[in-house]
Amino acid sequence: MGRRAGAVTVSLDVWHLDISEFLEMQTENGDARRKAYDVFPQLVVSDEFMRRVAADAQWTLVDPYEVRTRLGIELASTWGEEFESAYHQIEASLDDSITLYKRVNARLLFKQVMRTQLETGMPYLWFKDTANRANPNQHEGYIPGGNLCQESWSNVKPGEEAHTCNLLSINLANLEDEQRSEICHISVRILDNTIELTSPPFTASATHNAKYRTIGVGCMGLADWLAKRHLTYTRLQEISDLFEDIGYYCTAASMELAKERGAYLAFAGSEWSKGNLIGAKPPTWFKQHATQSERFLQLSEDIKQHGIRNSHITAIAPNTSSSLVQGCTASVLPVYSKFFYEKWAKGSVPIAPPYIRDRLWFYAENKTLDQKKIVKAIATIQQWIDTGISMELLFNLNAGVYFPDEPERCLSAVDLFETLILAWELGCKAIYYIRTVQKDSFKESNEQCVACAN
Amino acid sequence: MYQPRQSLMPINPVFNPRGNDDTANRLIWFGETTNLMQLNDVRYSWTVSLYRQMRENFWVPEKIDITQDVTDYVNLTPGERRAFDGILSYLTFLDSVQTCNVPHIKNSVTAPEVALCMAEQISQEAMHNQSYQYIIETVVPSDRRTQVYDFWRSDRVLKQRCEFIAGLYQKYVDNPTPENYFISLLADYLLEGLYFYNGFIFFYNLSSRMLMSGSADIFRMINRDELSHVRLYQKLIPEAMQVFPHSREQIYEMFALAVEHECKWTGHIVGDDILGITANSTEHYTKYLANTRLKAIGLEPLFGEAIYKKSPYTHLERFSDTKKEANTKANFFEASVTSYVMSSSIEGWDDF
Repeated sequence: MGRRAGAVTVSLDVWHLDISEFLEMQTENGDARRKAYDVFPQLVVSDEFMRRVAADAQWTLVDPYEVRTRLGIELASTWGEEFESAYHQIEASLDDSITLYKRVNARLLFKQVMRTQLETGMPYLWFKDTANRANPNQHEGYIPGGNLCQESWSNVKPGEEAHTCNLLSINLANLEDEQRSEICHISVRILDNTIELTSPPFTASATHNAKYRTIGVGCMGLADWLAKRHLTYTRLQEISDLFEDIGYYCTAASMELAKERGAYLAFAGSEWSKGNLIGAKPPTWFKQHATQSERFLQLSEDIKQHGIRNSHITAIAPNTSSSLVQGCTASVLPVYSKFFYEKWAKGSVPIAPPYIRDRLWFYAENKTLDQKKIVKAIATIQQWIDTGISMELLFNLNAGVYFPDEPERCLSAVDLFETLILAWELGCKAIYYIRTVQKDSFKESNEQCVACAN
Repeated sequence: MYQPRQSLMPINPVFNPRGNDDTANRLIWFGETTNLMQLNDVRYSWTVSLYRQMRENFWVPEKIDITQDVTDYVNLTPGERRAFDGILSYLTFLDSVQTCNVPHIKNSVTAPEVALCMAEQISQEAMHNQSYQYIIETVVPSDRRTQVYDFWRSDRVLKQRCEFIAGLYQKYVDNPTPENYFISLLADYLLEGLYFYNGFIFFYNLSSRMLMSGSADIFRMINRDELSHVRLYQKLIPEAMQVFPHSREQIYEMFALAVEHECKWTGHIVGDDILGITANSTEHYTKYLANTRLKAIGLEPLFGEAIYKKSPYTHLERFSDTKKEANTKANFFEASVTSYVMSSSIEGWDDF
């Protein structure tokens, strides 16, 4: 595919005093010098914030510099309980040692985020606590934010260690069930080799690669895989079984590689070394949730004994371009439309999914699907993926799309709200783009759409 | 049919506290308006959704990345480049003349809700001019820009075309009779519904061949706006046919002439030189469009042959994706996503 023009994501924690300005970075109105149309903003969101959004409670925006100098707290580097106790301490110090702050309603702030997403597709939402709880390298630091595609991340240290994406995607459209194990093993080996065979563009990247060996085996063509088997996105058990296999085989492959090549440098003290598996979950979790739980218990023991080659092993990328080359649907999302144009910098390419001729009715179009179904499917997959999944959500703003019994009814703001909240509740780690199908509410006077030839 | 007592179109007073805007008394023309705009109390309820949609479509050209077009422009064939420049100049003229003329039409509109839609239309036409300028100043090399801006009057064929279009408007301004008002209104409909589209098709055609995609994105947005204007006139013309002196023959004549002029101009600037467009397909498309626009105002098609029931450019129309079908999915990292609307397009923000 050659090289693509660079792009950058900028993240801000949701408690930052500048959050409002940050959200306005891509809107149409206001002074152009305060805009940045070519960066991709992400909001780093904590559980405490989401709880207050759900509870319609107050939220405090603070200045990290003042918090650091007055209270000695480096708020950005905290997450989970440590964040919550620091945050409560800050809130108890308002008007006392903390003077730069603003009290806002958490729900109203979240609505502002949603409005920005509806108008511009961003910011991405990256759930900091969910991602850090699943971090196998908690002994070495924390994860401050997600990458540009919101599926791959790990510890970083500014100027010293930079997370590096080493990714590939398995094409599920062509994958036979009996090939799963072999393909997963080969994929992990390819990516581990890639770390040796490529030259990172800067030192911090090389240091990170050497220390953590983060890779991400992903998947594309889930929509094809399902259609081929006459399944839909609501068949969560089948989806879960597929990704249980992929998660298991890839993790096992990295353990096998460790026998041959040694564990990653920071393995000692990691969650892996304690016998915790995918997403730092304890073996008991796998005993309860895995269809084939015995193999996970064995794997846990093997990793404790032999180590693991890569600290992060699976991540599901959007791969819109590589899926085009492969001729399958992109990533693990439903097909956008049964026939559509994919627009690139150089033009547009007509796309139809590979099995459309024989499986037309099993390709549900994302543009008319209730996105809560997508959230549930992604959350199911996420259980077996140790890093993240690029989850786009697509909301159709037109009447009569989602509520067949009520042809006049449009999606309302609360439907979007519930979908986003559900994603957080079910353990999705990030929400990538919010896409919309533009509203066209004008009723033609004639029986059909003759008014609009174009 | 209403027989106006005065021989000239009345212009609305600016301040008119004695006007009667009761919905029962309200008329699009020849009413007694106070000019007060409020959308709660309207007689023409279609204006509410139309106006809202126009507002929700708000966009600014600066957000769309057209840097790749600068390179593409150099690689266009001489014919493509000439057409690119010429069509831009023509469209600039069209939106300029609309910005200037619609206020004249609006001055006699006595339903405030309709006037509101026209005010929004005027604002959008002005913004479209700014968009053309954004393209010209970015893509066209500086030594050619003046030529592009001036092409509408330096090119003989285009100048004639502009004279015809603006002439119908000017006729009403010079002699503001109800008859001329109707002609001016119908000319507006022809402009919004017929004259833009061969130009749009040219840009979609280039983009479908991986050329000038940023410009095509801007045209998608403009196209989306223009469709709302078409809809405005599709509502106004049937009303006007109840009110103003006119004849069917006159309407058909104007449509026939419009098609003839449009084909002549497109033949001149695009002709057979562009891959994917021929003089035949231009004629086919223009006649198809004319039929469609006639049908939308309740009239029989002008071109009866079966082929004119279908557009020759369905592949490009799908590509333009200006409505709700969601035919195009853009990659955020590479292209502008043009389907976004203002968040006011979704309701219920205060319900939770």
